[in-house]
Amino acid sequence: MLFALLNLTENLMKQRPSCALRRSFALGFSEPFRGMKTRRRPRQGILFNQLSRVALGIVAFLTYCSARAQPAATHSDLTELPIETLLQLEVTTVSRKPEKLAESPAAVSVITQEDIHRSGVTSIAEALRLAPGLEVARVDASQWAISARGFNDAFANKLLVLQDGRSVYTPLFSGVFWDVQGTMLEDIDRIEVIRGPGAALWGANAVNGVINIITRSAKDTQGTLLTAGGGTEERAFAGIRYGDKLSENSFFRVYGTYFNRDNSVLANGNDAHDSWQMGRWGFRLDWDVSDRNLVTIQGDAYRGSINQVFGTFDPSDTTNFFRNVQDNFEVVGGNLLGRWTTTLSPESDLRVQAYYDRTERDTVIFKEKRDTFDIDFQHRFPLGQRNDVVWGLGYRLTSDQVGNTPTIALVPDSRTLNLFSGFLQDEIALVPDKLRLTLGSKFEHNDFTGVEIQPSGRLLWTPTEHQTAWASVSRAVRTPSRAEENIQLNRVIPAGGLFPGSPVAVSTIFGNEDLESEKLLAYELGYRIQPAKQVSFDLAAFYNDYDDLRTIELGFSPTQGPTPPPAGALFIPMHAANHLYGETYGLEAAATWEITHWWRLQPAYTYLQMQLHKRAGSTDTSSELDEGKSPHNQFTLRSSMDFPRDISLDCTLRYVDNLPALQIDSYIQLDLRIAWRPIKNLELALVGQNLLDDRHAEFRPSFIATQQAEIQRGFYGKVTWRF
Amino acid sequence: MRRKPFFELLTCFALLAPSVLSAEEPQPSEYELKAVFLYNFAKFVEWPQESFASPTAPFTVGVVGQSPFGGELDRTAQNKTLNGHPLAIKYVRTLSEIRACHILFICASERKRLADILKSASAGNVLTVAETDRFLQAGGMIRFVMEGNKVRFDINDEAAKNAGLHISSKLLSVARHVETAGAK
Repeated sequence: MLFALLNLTENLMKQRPSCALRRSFALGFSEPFRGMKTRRRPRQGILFNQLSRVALGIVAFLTYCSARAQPAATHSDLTELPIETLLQLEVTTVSRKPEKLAESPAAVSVITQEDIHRSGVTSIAEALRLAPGLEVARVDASQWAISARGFNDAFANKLLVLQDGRSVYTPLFSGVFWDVQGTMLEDIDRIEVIRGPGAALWGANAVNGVINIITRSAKDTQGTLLTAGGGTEERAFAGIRYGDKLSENSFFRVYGTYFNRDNSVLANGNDAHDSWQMGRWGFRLDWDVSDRNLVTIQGDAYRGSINQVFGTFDPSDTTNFFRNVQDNFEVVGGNLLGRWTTTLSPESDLRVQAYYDRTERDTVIFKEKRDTFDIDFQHRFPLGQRNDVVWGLGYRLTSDQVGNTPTIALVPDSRTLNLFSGFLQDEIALVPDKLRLTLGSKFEHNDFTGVEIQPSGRLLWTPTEHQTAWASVSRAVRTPSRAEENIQLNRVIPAGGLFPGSPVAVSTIFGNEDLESEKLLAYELGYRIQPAKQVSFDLAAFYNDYDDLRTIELGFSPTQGPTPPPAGALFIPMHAANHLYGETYGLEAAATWEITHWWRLQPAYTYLQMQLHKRAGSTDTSSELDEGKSPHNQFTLRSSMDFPRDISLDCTLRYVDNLPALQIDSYIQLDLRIAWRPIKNLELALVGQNLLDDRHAEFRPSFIATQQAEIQRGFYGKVTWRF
Repeated sequence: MRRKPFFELLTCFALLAPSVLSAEEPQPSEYELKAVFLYNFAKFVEWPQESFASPTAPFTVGVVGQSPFGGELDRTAQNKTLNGHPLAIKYVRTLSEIRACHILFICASERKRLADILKSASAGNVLTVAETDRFLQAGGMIRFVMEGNKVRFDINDEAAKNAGLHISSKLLSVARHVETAGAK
């Protein structure tokens, strides 16, 4: 199934936002203004001096802007230069063939390396804030809640995430441990974000979106790169990468990174004791075995140490049953991936990919070791004049071994799961260059719910070169997770917590092996237009119809437990079931406006409405509240400016609506980065994050009792040196 | 007196703006440079006499697909001649127009039609240029490749020879990679 993503990946290679390109950092100016720099200003007192500078600045600025409106200043005729010189010239873009975001029949956006670099984000999770339409909330120093089109949670489970073809979505809870996702950010080529179902290609769990993190090939990361920095929240970080040629046709890189992040704070301003640090290293080898055969081998390994205060169930304490434990737990993991691509003809290729992935997490409330082995095969070929067919097969084996505690237990404590999948997709040119229909489906067999079929139909209409409209209908499912089937999660409700005078209560959520997949039927519409070279708009609207969403019902599970109740506490057994259904709808609008060569603005707005309903007879009290965990309105505005002398200024302003179910107020935050390149290979950057408040809360933990933390304003400095 | 942030910001602009004016020679854009390379290819490749209707017939650079050049190609071609042939840019709409071109730039939008385009090109003496992956393997002649932010190119000399074109050793020597007859 992973393999499907490679195809999509390749398709997306073309899908650079057409405006995100060519921004010339070196600027051309017409002659008359050159003299201004040397003109002496009379000394007439500081205020006057400043005023005159302001005036001069405004004049220069305006003249400069108007100068830019005219045809580009001609420089010396390049056609006169010898070809050897031309080969040495550097052009103002580093992005590869830009284009074709416009040709995707889905709500796709791409976060480029440039976006990541310029925004000053320090983690993959944070980088996702740059994609329009995603919900990205920081729960505390190390936990994130990330989703698309609703259902956000620290354990959000409807988003599929892949890194270089490897799924980082854990079957443990059908979500992502964001704290252990990373790489050298400078080596990321782009992050593709697909909002809406991608299940026909990517398989179960690509329900509300797919995130695909793609690193650069070793060929594109040659030489040495050193980064280092530190500040108030990002206490210290450093990275080193070295890339070289092994032979004429083979390239490699190795990297190592480290960071140490500061505590977040509690609502009262005290430390939340959740600081953490992590080291990671990895390598990548790209070998052009021949013109038609490419081999990639890559791997990463990490080790981190995370502070966290867990609320634990303590059966030995027969009065409170509860204890807050300051934990310092370890996360360890690694993976190794190999991929072979062979080109059969210009329009046909075949790929095989296999990987092994291991993760370990050792907390005071839960321990897990997981091994995953995955192999995928994919073949693309044209059929007749108008059909482009892709099909693939995949197999994944995942095996876990958990260490149970009174707070969380999985029964049984070890399980091996198999996933068999196949997919077929045909892209049909109904009217060449105008109308394209993509039909496809994924067929899977998993150990929880058996066979799942997830078809999709997408129609793309390109009436003119600068306009596209698309529509789609797709079905996707979210298969149950290991936890939902087998968990016994004990939560303690303190005395008086249920009603005035209530005794201490222990609520145990039991997994349910009869749980069914959550199902989605999604209807989407999209429109993109580039009315002028400098301006583009991207609109997407959706209506999602969900069924069999998970609920937490009162009573014992039909397949788990019952366990004896804890003596001396009120016992509330609960279990997972599928008694929720609902509709969500929304609109995502994003624009790019290249005001001048050196200034770009990117506003984005997202509207979301969720309506969830319990089936008659459901005793669930919490799942409908998911409606209030995703913001109705989100707005972001990014501004990227390039000044001469290689100074750049980037601002990101974001507004997130309130989350009533979590008592989170709406907030506006500002991130700012100013960078200067004194020499070509060296960059100095100053970054301020969450500048508008001392601290603010973005989300609340769910299921697992960790503290309710708030995110502080932060500053850091960073040096980047390439040689 | 404390200055207001807005005032500071303006001052900041003011300080930066004048220095704007002293910036050096601008760097060319990617496609501005690629347009110049196309012109250079015309200089370093020999076309057979019969590919020109007359000694003053235009030298035609064709572009098929959604051009990434903007106005750069036309700007580069302005008032240029090659051995007496005025340089002309032609935006090709149908396959039948291809054989009349001397150089044909095949835009990335035409990836799907590549085989048809190359087939049409093989009917004339057309130097085919593109920047799509595996273009040379498909029978194309010159492929642009970006190395960092420098423009490079690979050449399939065998394909050029088959089309009756002679690529000068000078151009071959500066190419990143050359495929010659025999090598596959």
